[in-house]
Amino acid sequence: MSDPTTSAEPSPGAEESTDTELREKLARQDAEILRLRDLLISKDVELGAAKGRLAELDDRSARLASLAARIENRVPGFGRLVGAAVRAMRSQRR
Amino acid sequence: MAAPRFSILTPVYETPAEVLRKTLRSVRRQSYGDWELCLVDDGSRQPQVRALLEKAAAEDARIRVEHRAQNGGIVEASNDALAMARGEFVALLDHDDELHPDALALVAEALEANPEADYLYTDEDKIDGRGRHSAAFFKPDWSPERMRTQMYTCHLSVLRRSLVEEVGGFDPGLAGAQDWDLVLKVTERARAIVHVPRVLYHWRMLDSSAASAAEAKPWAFEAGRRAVQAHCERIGLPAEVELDGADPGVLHLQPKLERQPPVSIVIPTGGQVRDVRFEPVVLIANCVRSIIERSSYENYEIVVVVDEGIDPETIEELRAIAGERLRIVEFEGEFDFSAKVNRGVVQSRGEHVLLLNDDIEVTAPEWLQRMVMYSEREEIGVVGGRLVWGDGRLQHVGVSFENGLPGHLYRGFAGDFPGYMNAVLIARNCLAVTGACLMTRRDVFQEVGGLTTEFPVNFNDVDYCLKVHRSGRRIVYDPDLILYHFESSSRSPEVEKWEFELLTERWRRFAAVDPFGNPNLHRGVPRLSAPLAWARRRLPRPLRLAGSRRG
Repeated sequence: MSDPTTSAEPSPGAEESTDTELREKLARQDAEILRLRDLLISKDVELGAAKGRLAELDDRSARLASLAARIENRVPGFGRLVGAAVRAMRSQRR
Repeated sequence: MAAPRFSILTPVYETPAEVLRKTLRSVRRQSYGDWELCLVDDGSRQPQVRALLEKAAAEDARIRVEHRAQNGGIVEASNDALAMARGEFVALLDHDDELHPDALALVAEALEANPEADYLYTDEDKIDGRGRHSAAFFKPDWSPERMRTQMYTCHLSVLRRSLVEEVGGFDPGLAGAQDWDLVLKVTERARAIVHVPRVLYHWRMLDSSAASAAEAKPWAFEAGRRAVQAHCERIGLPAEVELDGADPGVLHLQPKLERQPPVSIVIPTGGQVRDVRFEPVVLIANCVRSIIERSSYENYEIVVVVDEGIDPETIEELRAIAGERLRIVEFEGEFDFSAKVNRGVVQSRGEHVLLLNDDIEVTAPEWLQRMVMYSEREEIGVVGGRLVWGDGRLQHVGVSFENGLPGHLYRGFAGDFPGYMNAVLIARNCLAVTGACLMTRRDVFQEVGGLTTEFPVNFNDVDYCLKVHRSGRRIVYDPDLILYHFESSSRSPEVEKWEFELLTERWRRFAAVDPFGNPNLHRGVPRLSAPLAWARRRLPRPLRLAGSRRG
């Protein structure tokens, strides 16, 4: 009768192949991590470009808001008048 | 100073009658009277051109006309017009453009305030066939570095005639860029150069005019490149001039150094760790590695000023990366950026000192050559570049001043944002650049007393640049010096009120008005009122009459 503990142990050849498999698996995972990181970086750059456009638009809208506030200070109700005019023009177009 | 006489030089060739009428009318409507219009018909075949010119000359004694027997091109005709000139100054007007009614009056006023001015230029805009104004170009005051990468002064240009003749007039070998060449030559010798920040010239967009399409005159761009190349050779600037691939109106200077003076890169650090491209890195190690791996410059040392208590492993890592180039300087005491930098500079040996933040990453091999190219020049005191965040957005493209307070131009805008009139893409002068990447000469650093410890955290770089500016030297922004700056984009500058107050108190006189801005711009973007700048009311009557003198 064979010793179960002994027989359950992998042979030296099997150990080597498991080790190789593990290394290969790790290498694949490393490559995948690098690929995902590169993807993340490229997405971050895309996001950066979008944020940059947003910053440009923000800058423009801040200037418009500041101008509107200055006009409103001098001509109270100016904003409402412009709003009404825009709505009237839109309804005419329809 | 007696009111000057202006000779307006206008070569004419096959100009549509209606357009020519408008051009002539804009001259005759000048509120300033002492001018002469030197018209040279460059062999136009259309009979109405000759008829119109003769009629104008018959109606006004100040208009003189010459007819060339055959077409000789813009340069020949311009030189003929120059030969006709008798005024103290020549003003260049194209045959299809228009002058603002107060153009000459305002230039004369500027001359009265600056009698030594040899060259004056104004802002300009474009007009279409229906007379609608657009695309105003609000220019900075004289910016020699900008002039080497963009013909920004363009119209209206007024030059002292004696100097124009001294440099030989318009160069026939540079047709299409003869005005750029002439302005470069004149400004190389000018005693003073004056910018009149008013839209006084209207450039008509015709199908054939360079104003309407960059492709209309491709040969003109190549001539511009050659004109700037020749200028660099004349003034001893070691650079090769190249056209921009996308926009031929923009030039790039590639450094061609004959020697490599020693450069000391001084980097203060606390050994911080931050995420760079989604990985935690020791910033100083990343910075030094990028310098060592990417620089093609040979003659430099790296002086790292470290806080006490920095991880010894970081020091070991730096030694492993930089070897003999590295010098470690220890700094003890409370946080004081200025004191750290000053300590590092004192311990360094280079002729040029580059202040660098530890969260910078070098991208291009010739980055040091690029800065040394400018820093070697006596008249330049500081050089900075274009810094971008990790996601490509703009972090720094020069500092502008508004009401005496500094701010980063286009901060957070997309990386491909060209800026107003390509401000991001061209070399420029400004009042300050960020200390995150700032090259200066050792003698300049010593002369102005280094970074002031009055500003231990913020504004020490701005204060330094303003000291250099006050010493009469220029601050240069180089668009082709591109570096990553892994400063957190969400970080608040956290400037204290006392820092603002101290800065304005120290620099009220010098920074109240940014000479490299324009009254019609706010932080590098046209104000909402700017589209009406061309229509500003005319001068009050007494001013208009001043200097009126019939020729």
